[in-house]
Parts: sequence; structure tokens; C-alpha cells
Amino acid sequence: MAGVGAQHLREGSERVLAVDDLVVEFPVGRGQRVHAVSGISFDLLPGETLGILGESGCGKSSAGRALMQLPAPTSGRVRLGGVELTTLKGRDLRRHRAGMQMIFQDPVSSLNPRRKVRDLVAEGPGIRGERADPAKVDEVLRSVGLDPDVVGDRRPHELSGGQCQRVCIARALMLDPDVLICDEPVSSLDVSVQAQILNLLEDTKKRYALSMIFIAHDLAVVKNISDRIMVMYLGKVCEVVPAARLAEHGLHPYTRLLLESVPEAYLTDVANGASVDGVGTGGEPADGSAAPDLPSPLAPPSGCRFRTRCPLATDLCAEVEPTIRPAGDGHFVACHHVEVPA
Amino acid sequence: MTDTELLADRPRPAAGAPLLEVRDLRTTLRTARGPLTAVDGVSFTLARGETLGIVGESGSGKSVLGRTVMGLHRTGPRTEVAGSVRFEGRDVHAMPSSELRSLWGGRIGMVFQDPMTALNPVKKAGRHVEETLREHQSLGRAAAQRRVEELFDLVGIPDPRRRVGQYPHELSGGMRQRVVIAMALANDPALLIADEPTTALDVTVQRQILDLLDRLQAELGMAVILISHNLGVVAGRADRVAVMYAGRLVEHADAVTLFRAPRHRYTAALLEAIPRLEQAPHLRLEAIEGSPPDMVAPPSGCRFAPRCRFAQDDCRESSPALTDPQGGDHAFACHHPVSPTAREGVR
Repeated sequence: MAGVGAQHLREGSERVLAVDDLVVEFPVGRGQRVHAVSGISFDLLPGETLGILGESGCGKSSAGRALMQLPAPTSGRVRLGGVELTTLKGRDLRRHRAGMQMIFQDPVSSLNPRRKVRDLVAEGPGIRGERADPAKVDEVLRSVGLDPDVVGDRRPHELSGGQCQRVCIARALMLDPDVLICDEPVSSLDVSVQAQILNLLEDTKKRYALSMIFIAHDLAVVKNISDRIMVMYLGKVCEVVPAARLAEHGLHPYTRLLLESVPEAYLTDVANGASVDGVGTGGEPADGSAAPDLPSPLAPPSGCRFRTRCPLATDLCAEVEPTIRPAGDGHFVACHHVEVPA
Repeated sequence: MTDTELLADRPRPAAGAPLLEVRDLRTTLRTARGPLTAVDGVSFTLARGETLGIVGESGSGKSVLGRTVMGLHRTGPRTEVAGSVRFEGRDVHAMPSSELRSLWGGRIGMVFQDPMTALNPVKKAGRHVEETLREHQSLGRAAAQRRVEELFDLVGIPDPRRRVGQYPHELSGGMRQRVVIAMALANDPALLIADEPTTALDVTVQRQILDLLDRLQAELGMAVILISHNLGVVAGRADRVAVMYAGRLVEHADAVTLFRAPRHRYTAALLEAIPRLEQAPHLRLEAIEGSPPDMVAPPSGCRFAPRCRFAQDDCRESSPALTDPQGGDHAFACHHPVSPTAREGVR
């Protein structure tokens, strides 16, 4: 899986964000490096939501942060609205990067506990040396479903997790971004609150004409909010698939494994009276015995990085890294063996 | 194993008696902001070999319930427990501490959410299981070590001989949780309490661990209480499911009935709020407005009423009792339940 290649890019179109051959590596001492992201490319059209799906260690968060230059990627290019961010520094970087805003998994710890909601929301323009318009602060707070008169003077610990995430979204909106990067924005929230925030993100995207990158490990959540989904494994792209095709037409063996592991599938099965035991797990033993561990990102496998867990793997997979190839209907897959519809 | 001697001196419950009987359990924790009744009048029974799923959001009291059942929360300076928990015919909360300690890791096994904090970082993996074995059984070191390797094999740890000598940080999250499960199973428990056993794990590993628990339960015939915030995790694995909200059981039925035709408005709303893979992208979710109540000052009447689209005056005034009107082993506590024929709770 290791997909190299850029066949899935849409270079002819107007793109808000174009990422080429992004590499993120972290030195860990003794000359070793963590290969967090190993050459991925993707782009984002205006108004589009790209979901980045993968398990822990796949590099999805490192990729999201590298877009923001937090820290800057080891190599590769990140072009936001035609401006190359990776060569910018200091004030220029801060000015151009503001077109991209990020919200994180834990909304409570991403807010300064000593500051009031109104000040938290006004902070972004302040960093740019502008004074935040109080009317705009109120408007943005209302648009995320918070009453500025009620919560404006509260501090984060006086709010619920869902309300804190709303404040984080409001903070991002203050800077009039074109792109909103959401890194696991609902995974620390309760199920009942998760749906509120997903709906709010959809509304916000329409209202403020945003494009969005939505990073998460939960397949159903990513499918719900995305137009296009990029599946990652150990720093590489496995598959790029239109969201509507994910469940039935996901092709890559890793995508299939994820789909078969989703516990929510049981909800429908059980409600329909289907036996849960009958669900197969392609490649992974169903008696609960351990599948091979995730390989170390210090020394990722040669060729396709998924081959150590893949039921289709052959010698070819160890030798040659598969390139991303089209699979019809805006769908792309990086696998030597999977059958692609003609 | 040498479990036969242990079996002999254990009081045998009457045939047909449930393994576990929880009656009107109430756990009040003293907090800086005042008393907090985390578990408020919960009753249920569990038969041998049965799996009960307990689902609820954070703060619903599901973990405190699990811990009170085990006797980890007991009446003391900061905690007050009322009601009763009878396990194999004995009242857990009337036992002296010494008996409780022999219950833990003995007849009741426990698996918690975070395997890293459940394991001692400076103790080798095998040592954890060996100590659990020798605490409860008179085994020599060699025999215990052989048994540890058998247990590692049982829980699907490849190459047990090498793995017993590794430290927790050398193991992946899934492997660590398998070690914790091996500890829990070491003394052939009659009941396994698994509190969010897969929440800290990736989805593919979660599937393996849940499959493992399924297989072990079938092989060993133990009863399981599976506590989770994830309805999907519980759906495929539990025989019966209890839904908790704000410290109370609001609905209780066999898994198929509960997920196919929920009666309580909260259960139905929760099922609708979950995005499903088979739905089209961008489908608007039926969110539940508001957030779970502050348990120091819970709302009067039905605790879900402030967030319920179907709430009426009676919901805010009187607390609905958990009743089973049809006598079909499907109990719910709702004044205006979903009609039993409507499939509005399920999509």
C-alpha cells in the first residue's frame, strides 16, 4: 500500500489546497527516524470535504499539522490558494497560513483555562495585531450555537466538552479561513453530542464557504461528513475513494479490514436479526487471536507497507511499492493485486 | 488446574439462582460540590454464562456501577453504598476486606480501559499473571510459569515463551490488553467485568479483542458484564443490554429487541444520533440537543426530559419507574415510550 503517485490529483481544476509529496520524519536519536508521513499527495477543491481515515500511527495527524507548518514538513510542497507555504517564514508564514485553521481532538485542553470565551474567540485577530470587532465575536459565537450573553464571560471549565468544541470552531472562524482542518474533532465527545458537532460543521462549511479536511479514525463519522476519503496506513496512501463508494466499493485490503472491524455494523445486523458470528474478517483470524502487530514506523516494511498484514500479499509486494491507479468514478487505489473494475 | 480444591470449599448457590443479583443499588460519592449519586437505584440479575452489556454516555454511572458491583466502591468516608450485590449467594458489601480481595482476580476478573495503567511498567508481562495465580492458588513457581504460558496462548499472544519476559512498554496496546485479560482469567472467574476494554485500542485491534472475549466466554462459560459507551461494541456481543442515563437504568432488554425496537425515548434518540456506514454521505444526523445533566443537581422527574423532544409536563414532575408492561423481559422507564410497533427508533 504504499501508494506513491499522483494520479488522483486534479491539477486542471481550481484547487484551494494542493499538497505534493509530503514527507514528515522525526529524528528519535541514534540516527533513527520515525517515518510518520512518507510522500503523500492530495488536493482540495473549493467547498469540498476531504476525509483522512486511518488508525493511530498512520500519519494522519502529522500530515494535518504539516499542512499548518506545525512543524514544517521534512520535504514536499503545500500550496494554499497558490501560495507556497513551505518556503515562508515568520510574519509572512503567519499571515498566509491564517487562511487555514485547525481544530483539535480535545477541545478543553486546546483552550486557555484562564481566559473567558469572548477573549478566546477574539484572540486570533489580536495575534495579527488587529483588534477583534466585538460584533463579529458575537456573530461568530451565535453561528456556532452559543449565546454570547450567556457564555461570553465563562471560562472553559464552566462549559461542556461539546460547548468547548463550539468555542474552538468560533476561534477558527474569526480569521475568515478558506480551509478548516479538523483533527479528530468529535472522538472525545459523547455520542449524543458528536452528532451536534457534525451537523454544526456541515452548517458552518456552507455558511462560511469553507473547504474542509476532516481527520478521524471512525469510518462512519468520516463517511458522513466527507465528499472524498483518503485512507492512510503507516504514512502512505492506500486508497482515495468518493465517500458514497466507501462502504460497498472500498477496494484496498486495508480499507476492507477497517470496514469489517467497524462495531457499528453490528447495530444494523443485530436489529435485522442477523447473526454476528457470520461476519468474516478478511485476512485476520476471527477467533480473536492476534494479527501481526503494526510494523514500526522506524523501519517500515519494504514495498507495500501493508503487506505484513495483507491476505493478498505476494513477493511482488515486498519488492515493488504499488502506485496509485484509477479504479473508476473518481476512485483510486494503491495495490498490486486488488481487481479494479474496468 | 488445581481449581477443584477451591471449588470444594466455596458455598454453592442454590440451583437456578442467578450468579449475580443487584438490588436497588445506590452509590453516592462525596465531592467538593456536594453528594453525587452516581448510581441511583439500579437492579438487575445475571445468569451464569450470560453477557450483559451496559451502555451509557460519560457520567451515566456505568463505570461506578461496575466498580460497586465488584466492591471496589464500598461504604467509607467518601462513599456510601445502599442496596445489595449478591454474587454466588454472598453479599459483596457485607464481606470483610480479606474475602473481597480473594474475590478480585479470583471468582471475579476485571479488565479496564487502559492496559498501560493496569500493568506495572517495571514488572514483566508474565510476572503480572504469575502473581495473580499464586495469590489465589498454591502453585510452585515452575507450575505457575507453565500456567502463565498456557494463559498467554489462550488469549492469543503469539510466542508466549518470549512474551512473558517482556515489559509492558515492549508490547503493543492490543498485546497489553491481552495480558490484562490473561490476568483476569488466571483463576477461572465465574464473572468477568470488562469496563471499556477496547476504547483505548484501534478499530482493527478492538475487533480482535472483542472476538477473543467472545471465544473465551464460550470456552470457559463465564458470565461477562461488558461496559461501553459504544452501542456497536455491545450490540454484537451481549445477550442482554441495559441502557443507563444519569445514574439510572432507563431500558433493559435482550440485545435484538433493544436495538430493533427500543421503547425508551433516550435509547431511540441515541440510536438515531449515530452515523451509519450504510447511510449516504452528508445525511443530517438527528442530534440530541443539550448535554447530559450535572449529577450533583440532577433534574427532577425523568432525567432525560430536558433533552427529550417528546417530554410533557408529567415527565418533568414524576420519575417514570422501570417497568415491563408486556411481561416480555423488556423493561423501560418512560412515560411516553416509542410505540412497540413503530420502527421510528431504527433506521
